[in-house]
Amino acid sequence: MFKELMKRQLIEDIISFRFLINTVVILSTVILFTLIFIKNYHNLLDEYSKSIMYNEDTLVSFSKSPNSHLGSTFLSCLMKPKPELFISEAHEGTMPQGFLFSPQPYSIRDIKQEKEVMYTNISQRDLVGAAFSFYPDLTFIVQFLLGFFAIVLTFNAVSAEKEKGTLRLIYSNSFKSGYFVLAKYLAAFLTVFLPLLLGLILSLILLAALLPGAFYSALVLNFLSFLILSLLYISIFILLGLLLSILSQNSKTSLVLCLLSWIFLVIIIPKATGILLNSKQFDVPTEEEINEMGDKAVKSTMDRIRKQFPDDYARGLDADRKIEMKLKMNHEVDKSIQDISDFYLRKKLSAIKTIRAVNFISPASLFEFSASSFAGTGLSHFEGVWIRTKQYGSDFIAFLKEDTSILRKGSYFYPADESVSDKPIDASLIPRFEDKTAKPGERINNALPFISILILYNLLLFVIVIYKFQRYDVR
Amino acid sequence: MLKTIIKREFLDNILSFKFIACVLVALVVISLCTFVLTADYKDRLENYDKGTTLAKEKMTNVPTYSCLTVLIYKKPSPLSIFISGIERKAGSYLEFHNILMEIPAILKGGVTKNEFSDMVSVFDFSGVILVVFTLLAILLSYNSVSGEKEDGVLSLILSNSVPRYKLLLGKYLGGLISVAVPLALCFIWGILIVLFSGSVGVNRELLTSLVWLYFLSMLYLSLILLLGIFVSSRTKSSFISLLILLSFYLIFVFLVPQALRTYATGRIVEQTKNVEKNTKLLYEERTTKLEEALKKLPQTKTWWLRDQYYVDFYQGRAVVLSRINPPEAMLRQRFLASLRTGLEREYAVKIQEFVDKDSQNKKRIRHTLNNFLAYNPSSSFERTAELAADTGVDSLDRFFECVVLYWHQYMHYMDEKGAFGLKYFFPGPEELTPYEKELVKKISEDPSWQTAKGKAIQYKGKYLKEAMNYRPNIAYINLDDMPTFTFHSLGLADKIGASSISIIILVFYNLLFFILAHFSFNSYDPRKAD
Repeated sequence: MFKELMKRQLIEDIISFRFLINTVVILSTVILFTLIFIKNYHNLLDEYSKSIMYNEDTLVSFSKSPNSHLGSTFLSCLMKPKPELFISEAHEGTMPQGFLFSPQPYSIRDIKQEKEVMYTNISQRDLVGAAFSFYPDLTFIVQFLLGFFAIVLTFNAVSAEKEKGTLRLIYSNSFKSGYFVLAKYLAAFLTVFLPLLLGLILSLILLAALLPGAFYSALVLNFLSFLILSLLYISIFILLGLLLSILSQNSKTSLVLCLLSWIFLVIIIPKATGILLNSKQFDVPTEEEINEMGDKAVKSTMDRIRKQFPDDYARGLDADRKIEMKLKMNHEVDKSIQDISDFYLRKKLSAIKTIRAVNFISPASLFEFSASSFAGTGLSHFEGVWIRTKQYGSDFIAFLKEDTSILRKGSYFYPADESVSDKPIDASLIPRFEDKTAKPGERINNALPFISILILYNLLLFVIVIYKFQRYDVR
Repeated sequence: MLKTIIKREFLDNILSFKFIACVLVALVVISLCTFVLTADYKDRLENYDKGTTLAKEKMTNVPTYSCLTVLIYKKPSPLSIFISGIERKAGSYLEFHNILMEIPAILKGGVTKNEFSDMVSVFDFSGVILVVFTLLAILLSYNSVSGEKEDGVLSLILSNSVPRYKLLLGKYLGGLISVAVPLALCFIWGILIVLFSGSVGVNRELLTSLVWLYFLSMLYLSLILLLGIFVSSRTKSSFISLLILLSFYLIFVFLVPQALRTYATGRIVEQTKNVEKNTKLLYEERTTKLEEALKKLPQTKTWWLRDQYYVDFYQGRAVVLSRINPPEAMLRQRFLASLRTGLEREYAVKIQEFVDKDSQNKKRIRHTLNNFLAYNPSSSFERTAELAADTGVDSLDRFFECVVLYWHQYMHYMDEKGAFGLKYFFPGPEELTPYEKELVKKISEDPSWQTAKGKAIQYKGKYLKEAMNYRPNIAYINLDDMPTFTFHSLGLADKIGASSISIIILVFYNLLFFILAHFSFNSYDPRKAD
């Protein structure tokens, strides 16, 4: 019985006009977006390699006379553009592109403005975008088109049969009413799954043909996991369509309800919660205010350290002690400024994350977050780069400190004056910053909260649909 | 008869569930976004006011021309509350330095405190019209003919002696009024929120712009309605008509504009790759030329004071030479200033040429993009709305054109005042007072520096204390006659002129769909209906 129901439904769905339109739209969009992405990806890689070249130049001139260049050495640690950006761009173009690291004074700052990355064009990515913009990636296709498709497929699944009176007929057969809904659900599921699968395979082929350098086996795995996530997301909209179809008396009402809920869940909630960022709770100080706080912290740190060396400071120190004090002071001063900027960067990030938490109501946002964390792009990528930049900073310092064999007078650091030797070092030995892809375990861990809520929504909706349908009385 | 049809349509529409739901959604979103954008505008206005007073204050105590920094703030437009455009993302001010001459090409500052805030976008009026009202127009029109076909009402109506065009017109006007009323409600609601938030002046200019914006929105929405009626009259079932219209909605409101925009941005990045490289080369060329010129300067043996006199408030920005200087140093300074400014100006203009070429490229690509998008109703509307509000990229371009013009004016003024001569570094009148002359003479004749080796030597003789303690009364430069920067937002006539092509296309679409709907409705034969 179940098989027959399923077969009937599937044939009905696949032969329909809506299936044809949607498949055509989805496939052509996938091809269009893939081509656009490939073009943009070349640009992004160009920009990234520019920054790498800039870093190399800096390191070469640094290695010639390390001490005199210490103060003017700025190394950029940027997010490397990955082909996974096509799965989910996750606003990577509009967030800070990475960090600037300088060894003396020791600082790691996120790149905020265009002028700070003179050698890249990245910030122009946003130039022609209107206030209301999306990035054309796969997430967008699934979020928008497939969500819509799912709703269009199911909005009249039950209400139309009510109207036509076929529901009564079906009821008169002796089978479990759950099967009926299950068949509807699975048929719709398969109908949406087909064009998606086709689209993903198409875009993979296009990527493999046109971007041979970027194509690797992990990308296929990422596409697979994206497919699974998409199914979870689509299933929510199918269930939602079924639920509204059961609840409403005629297909017109159910259609309006479905469309409105689609607009609400896919466009309005994800786009409108940005408003919250303007509330007092997420208020952060401006850049100048943060700098002022840094100055204050420097003053208090200096006072504190001077108190630790009270006698020496008054009497005038011997050379070694003086260097020790200066070293300590510089170190702590840098640390106090760094702490403040880190604190506020964390605060800004947490503000964004809190707003994302509000977006948990919308499965579209949940899907976007999980897809981006799974693909290792977006905010999780940025945070990864932050951690790696910190690691790189300490590696860099450790390397210089370790190299005392070259330098008679001990550390490179503080005070960088004549007392410290300025011997050239081998440029190839200096550690380089490298943006690595996070391990799969880590990515799954990042995506887990979002995925679990998606699954929860699925289960919840499923239970409600079955319950409501069983409660429905034909008479 | 027409009145009756319109009335019936209108009442039918506004009492329907879809209408109430859509209008509620629109109102909620508009109140939220207007509220936030008003607060944002207030912030930016405050920032602007603070900045302009600071700039004026800075102008009153400039001791030498090297210390002069001209700050130009871009006034935020109150229309950015309704159509936010690029204004919130672009910075708020730019500055002319005299120390390193450059014609600024980007705005600095801005009140975006959180650098991640671009990740979350905020709706504005054009967003609400594009997303919610387009859908409303589609929902109101998709079954206007096909629904009545299905119900069988159409045959009944046609059996009355009503001309078909009247019936069509009635349906269209009824739909138009049912969209116009909630849209007007939204506009009024938005203006009320702006009014009640205070501090944002609602003047005539703003109101006329809003009325123009309302008219544009109606032009766009009427197009959607007509399209809906046309599709509905062509199709047998209202479901298929809805499906076609919704596909249109998804493709032409979201997919096409976004894909084309992303493509165009990629093109811009590609086309402007070499500009920064070229400007960097120019900067390097400038530096080497300057260094060469400096080497040619005659080196004479002279003295200088240990702690050159800095003016406190400019410390770190520009060195102001003390008025106690050896005559050789003064000569050198005069020569250096003329040399340096000449070179820097030349290169500033050269770099500007590159930047200009770059922006011409960008403009060309944007222009092509806009030409393409002009045929897409929703983007055409978006663009006309942006032009009507004057908050988009075009407005920024115009601003920078004014800045370049002003820079040349400013340089002309500086030339007239002889700012790049001795006055560049030397504070006060050129003629030294008798006391100062005597002091310079005393130091120059002091044997203690003349015995020292080297070309320039720090003076440490017996007059040092006297020279260091001397504080001249510096008269600040009078800058009242300096040309002021002017940037006017476009008038209504200019706005209409700029968006004329898009408007013509919108009107053309309106007519086209009306005629198409008329013909397909006329050819409908109730007897053949199945």
